Amino acid sequence: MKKTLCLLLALLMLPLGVLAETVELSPEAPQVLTLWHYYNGAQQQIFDELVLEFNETIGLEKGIVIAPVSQGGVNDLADKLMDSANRKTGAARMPDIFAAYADTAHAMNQMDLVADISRYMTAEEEAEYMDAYIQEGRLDASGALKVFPIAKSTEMMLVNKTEWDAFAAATGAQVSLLSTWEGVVEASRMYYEWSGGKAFFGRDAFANYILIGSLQLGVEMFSVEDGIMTLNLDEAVMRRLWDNYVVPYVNGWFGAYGRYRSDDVKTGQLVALVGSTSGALYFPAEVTRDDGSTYPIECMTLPLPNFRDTQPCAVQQGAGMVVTKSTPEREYAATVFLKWFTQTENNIVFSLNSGYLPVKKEANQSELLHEVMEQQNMTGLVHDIIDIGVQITSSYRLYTNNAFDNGYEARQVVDASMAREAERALEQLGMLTEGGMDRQAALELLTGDEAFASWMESFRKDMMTALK
Amino acid sequence: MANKKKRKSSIFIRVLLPLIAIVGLTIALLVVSLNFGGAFQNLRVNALDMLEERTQSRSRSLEYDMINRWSNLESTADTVQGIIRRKLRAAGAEAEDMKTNAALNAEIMLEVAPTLVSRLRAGGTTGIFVVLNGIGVAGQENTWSGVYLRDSDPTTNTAANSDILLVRGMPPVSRALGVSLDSYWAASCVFDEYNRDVFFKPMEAALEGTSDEAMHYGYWCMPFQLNKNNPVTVMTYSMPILDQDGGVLGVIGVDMSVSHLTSLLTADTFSREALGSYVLGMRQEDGSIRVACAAGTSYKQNFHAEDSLLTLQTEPEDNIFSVTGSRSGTNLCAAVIPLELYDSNTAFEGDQWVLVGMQPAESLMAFSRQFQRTAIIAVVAALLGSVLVAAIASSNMVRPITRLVRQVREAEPGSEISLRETNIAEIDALAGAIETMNHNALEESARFATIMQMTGMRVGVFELKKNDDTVFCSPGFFELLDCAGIPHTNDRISREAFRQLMFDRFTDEVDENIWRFQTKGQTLYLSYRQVEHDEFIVGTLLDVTEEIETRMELERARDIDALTGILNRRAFARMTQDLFGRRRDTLKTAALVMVDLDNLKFLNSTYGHDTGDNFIRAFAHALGVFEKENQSIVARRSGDEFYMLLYGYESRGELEEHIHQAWQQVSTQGVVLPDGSFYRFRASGGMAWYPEDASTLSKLLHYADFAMYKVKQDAKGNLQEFDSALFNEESYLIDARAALDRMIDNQLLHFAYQPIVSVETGDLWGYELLMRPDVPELKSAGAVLRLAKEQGKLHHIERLTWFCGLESVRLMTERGLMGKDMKLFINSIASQKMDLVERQHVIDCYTDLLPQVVLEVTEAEDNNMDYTRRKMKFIRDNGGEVAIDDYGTGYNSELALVDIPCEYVKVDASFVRDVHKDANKQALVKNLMSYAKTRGIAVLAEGVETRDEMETLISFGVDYLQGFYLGMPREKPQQVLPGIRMEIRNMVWKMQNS
Repeated sequence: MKKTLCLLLALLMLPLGVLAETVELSPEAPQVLTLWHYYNGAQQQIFDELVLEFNETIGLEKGIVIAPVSQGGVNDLADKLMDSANRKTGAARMPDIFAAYADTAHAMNQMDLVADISRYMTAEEEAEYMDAYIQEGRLDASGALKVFPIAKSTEMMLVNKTEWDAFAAATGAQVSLLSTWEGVVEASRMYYEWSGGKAFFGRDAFANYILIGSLQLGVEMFSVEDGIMTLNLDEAVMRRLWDNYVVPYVNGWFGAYGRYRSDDVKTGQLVALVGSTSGALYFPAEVTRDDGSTYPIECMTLPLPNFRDTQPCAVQQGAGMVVTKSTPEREYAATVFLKWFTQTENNIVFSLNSGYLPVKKEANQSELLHEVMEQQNMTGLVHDIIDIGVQITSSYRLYTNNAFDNGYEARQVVDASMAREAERALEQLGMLTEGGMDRQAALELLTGDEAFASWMESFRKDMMTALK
Repeated sequence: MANKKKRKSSIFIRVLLPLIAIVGLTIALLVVSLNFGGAFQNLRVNALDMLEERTQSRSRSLEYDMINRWSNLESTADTVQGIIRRKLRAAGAEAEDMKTNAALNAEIMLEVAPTLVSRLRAGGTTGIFVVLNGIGVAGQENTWSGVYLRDSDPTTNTAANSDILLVRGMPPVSRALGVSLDSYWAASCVFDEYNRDVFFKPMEAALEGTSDEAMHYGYWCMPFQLNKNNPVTVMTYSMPILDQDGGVLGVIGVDMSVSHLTSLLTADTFSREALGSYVLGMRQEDGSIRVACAAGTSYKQNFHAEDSLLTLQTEPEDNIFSVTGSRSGTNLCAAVIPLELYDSNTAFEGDQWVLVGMQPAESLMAFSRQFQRTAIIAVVAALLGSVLVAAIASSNMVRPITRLVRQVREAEPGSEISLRETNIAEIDALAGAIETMNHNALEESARFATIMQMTGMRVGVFELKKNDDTVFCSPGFFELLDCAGIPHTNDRISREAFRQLMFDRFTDEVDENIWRFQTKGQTLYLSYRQVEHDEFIVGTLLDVTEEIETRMELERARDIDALTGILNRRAFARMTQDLFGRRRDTLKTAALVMVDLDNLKFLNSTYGHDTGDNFIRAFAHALGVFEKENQSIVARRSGDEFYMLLYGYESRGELEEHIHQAWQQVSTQGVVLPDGSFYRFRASGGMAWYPEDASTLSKLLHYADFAMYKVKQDAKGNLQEFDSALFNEESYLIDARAALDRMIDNQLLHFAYQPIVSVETGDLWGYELLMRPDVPELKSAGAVLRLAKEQGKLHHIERLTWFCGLESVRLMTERGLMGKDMKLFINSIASQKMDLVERQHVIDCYTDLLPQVVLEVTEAEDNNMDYTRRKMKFIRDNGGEVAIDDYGTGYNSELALVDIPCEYVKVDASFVRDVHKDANKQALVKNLMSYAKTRGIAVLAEGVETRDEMETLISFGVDYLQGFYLGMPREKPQQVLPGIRMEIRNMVWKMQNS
């Protein structure tokens, strides 16, 4: 009788979600949990510091040891996870916790390797996190929380202010130009002419330009409902994206030289770039010329440009943490760590030191952030970055597409197709002009209607292949 | 009186105390044997040994990585040096110009960079750098030109170098390589107090040193950060790039990030489940360890990352320490194994790098503690339980007895007693007996005398009382002892007369308590018994003559062999046992002779068994010539075998003479067969001497039997003495056969690995697997082969060679003791084939190892090359190779080389011995070399034991070397000593330049 009653009570309470499971752990026989992440540099440093603090306090008390391992880049990490999940020969054991974007998490979830974190969280606890982030972590129709948000980033614009000031003083160019893509193109053209043929702007993570741009111009390219994706390609929208990247690129107003645009700014090849807030910390304090000599520069931080006359829109990105399905002890221990790591104060400390944005509602209030920044004596670049970040979070529409099958492959196509076409066209421009063709005619041939139509066709084909 | 009282104690105590004592004693023994037998101590030492062994093996693989993989930079350094020289030449500049010409340096580095990428990909390190001994940025004095690349995870390589970061180097280098700039990137190198050692230490050492080998100045640097705030901590190995004139062009080096090194060190269950840790560090002068890199849970829990000194306390065991200063107070055990990173007499050999394996004593000793605890609990429980059970049992036993005693005590004397049953069989029986006794006592005593008379038994009794001068003797006593003449009054004689009587008459005890007397010409046997009390002795004499005589008659009949009428085997056994026991001193010099008729089978089958029986009977009779009164026992053993024990002789000569004569006599006799012919006795005999050969009967029997067996085997019809030397030899053979079977059945063998070194590189190239038997009787593989051949068991040895050999290799590879590219020379037995099932087993289990295998072929004496060729095909089909073994000796000569297609030929050790002195041997090796080169066969010399031999062989162009000088065969594969490597390189260099 008593048993049935308990069962009944349990059944009643589960759907309410107020019941969070706890599991007894032993400090004498600690649970040693491996954690795979892709942080490097300053991010790794602050992450490791926080983990150490956890291991020495709560971890020591409860019997949890977190062993973090950096797996290089986010793609390396995804590859290794796939190897481990498929039990490839020589692959490492699956980690207990790993950082993953939605697509990787989705793939792992399909293989039934992902634990349901909501079992260990109350509804109140879940409500403390930004709704959009929690929503992103619910991978399937079951509504179970599979990805734990710990830090997010978005994109912003960074400008070599020293160079800009010289340029602006000479040409009268206004900073306000840089708030729209059309303005960026115009400023780049002016700079090209003023500097005698140098490129002004460049960007990485090209897929964000296409996906956010398309959304902004009224078409969500990957619209996902219940895991089913509908592909929306609109020629007019794509043409506008084309005109504001391929055309200035082939003209030499935009550029791409080193592996990343941030490298190009460091070596003085570019003046401005759009990049992730988490990478902004590394904006250089000086430019190094090819002979190794340097000169100091200042940095100007600006919000992400938008297309003229559209609603502001920016990407919401950053991996969350996924807990691998294992024993209740290990799963529970993992959530204890993740909750601790995203406690408001820890969340802010991590964000401020890494260029990421906090994931808790409370932590995202700019007053609180400023308070902590003042406490920690943070000024200059970090201050500016966080300011811009919070500004974007509050006034832009933050977007990330939901996960779907073959989402990773589809994104690769979006990321590469137009950028590669621009590079190819630039190469051909050189050949054509050398061969004696008029530069203007050649430009028209390489970036005009016909060129766009032929690219559009190949883009569509590549996309179909990727989605098959 | 006091004594008596003391001895009286209750049954309860009598039962309880011994029980408790037994339990106590058992438990005490248990405790003592556990404690002093060393069980606890051994468990502890085992655990420590395991820690040390684990650390040792980890250190060996780490050492291998550090020396042979990570720091193996010579060829890259050569390439870089070549590029620098070429660029300098092209620019018409000197090395000195690099000090000022930054543009030139930048140009050099742009060309050097791709080389570094490929080395980074191949070397397994997290970074690589070259720093020129020249200016980095024009006009900036303290900048150096360099390229520094990093790959934080060398285990995976991504396409297009996307995982490589440029840490130092001019912007054009980044664009040319297509690699990204590190967060802390700088165009040129600047050195401060934290990182100056990496560059200046090897450079300064080279400028001061005299060696022209750059690697002699190689330097392992403790972990550091390249610049402030840079979170990546690395340890480096760097060495100078030398110019031809000995100047230093720059420094080349690799880095290993501490985090990657940590993950390399952590990758096993040691850290996960046993809470173990590895610490790589440098031993300080005070014995503490400066930590370079630490991996594992127990370190993380007990030391801060910045605790860079580990203090150790010596323990009684070698290499084992306890670690002090752990944060949680945990007691940690550590095994400290030195790493041999530097060759002797090099610049930094004073830096003593060590690998420390660390484990909490609690987890290390968990098993031992658990065992101890369980043992204590078991002992205490057993003790308490036993005492309780003993107490209950004793009291249960005593209660009915006490009641019985009370009843008996309270019974009316004279009346019938009726006792209550206790339900304990013995006590109830006692009670019943008491009742019956009570009932019969008087009746019996009255009836006794009459009955005695009626039986006619002749009995005599005496009673000797203390403090009495006379002894009572019954009339029967006097009658039996025939002492009517001795004066006695009233059945009593004086004490003195009684003593005399006993002393005189009781002289001949024939059996226990049975004495023989000669009275009135008759033999009388009397049984004597006596009962002693404190106050008196009562003795009885009973006439048992009739009984004894009947028994003796029966015994005699039983002792006689029915067929021959001489003693049988049992009588022989009984009588000889008596002789070798009680009557040993009558033996004096004795011989045990064993005789066996040679032709009984022939007679039986030709003339029938009756004739055979007749023959045996006659022979037994003939053996009578050996007999002498009280000096011989002759008996039939079985069938046609006879024993004789001849004894009591004063000298061996005398007995020898007797035996000789008797044997001669027997040999002349024989029987007449049914066909009328006379058939002479022919027998084989063996004999063993007492006491020379053996002093015990069983040994004498065994030896005589052996001697007879040898006669039957070698020369029938003889009598031969036992030969102990022969016996020892033969019995060894018997033992060895058993040992061989045991070795084969239980696979009691292991393999030793003898290193084979490549002359070209000076590096370890392979091992020869040498079988070692693990049975004490068989000392060497040679002994095994000889015996196996004799016993027709070579095929088993061939199987073991393949299965156990490859299994051993598998084990070594898995433990990381052996590289996967090592050649494995396996000695196959030429005359033995591998059948289909065996080949399939090898393929199923070891197919990945077969490409490493080199089959050593000897041309067999029975010339059965068919099996060998099939084995060669099998090995080749699976990717392996073939070597001709023992080249130059009898079977394997030039002809074999022409005949057998092979990749290698092994010059026999006998031709290597003193090859530097012997022109003939030199000629052979030279001939072989020139022939082998034209055929593309590589030559391996085995048995190299001296430096001179090695030098001569290298000068002849031998490709591979094996022998004690390069490395002894060991159970665990050994590395080549760094000194040897250097020697070989020097010799090769000398040869090429002469």
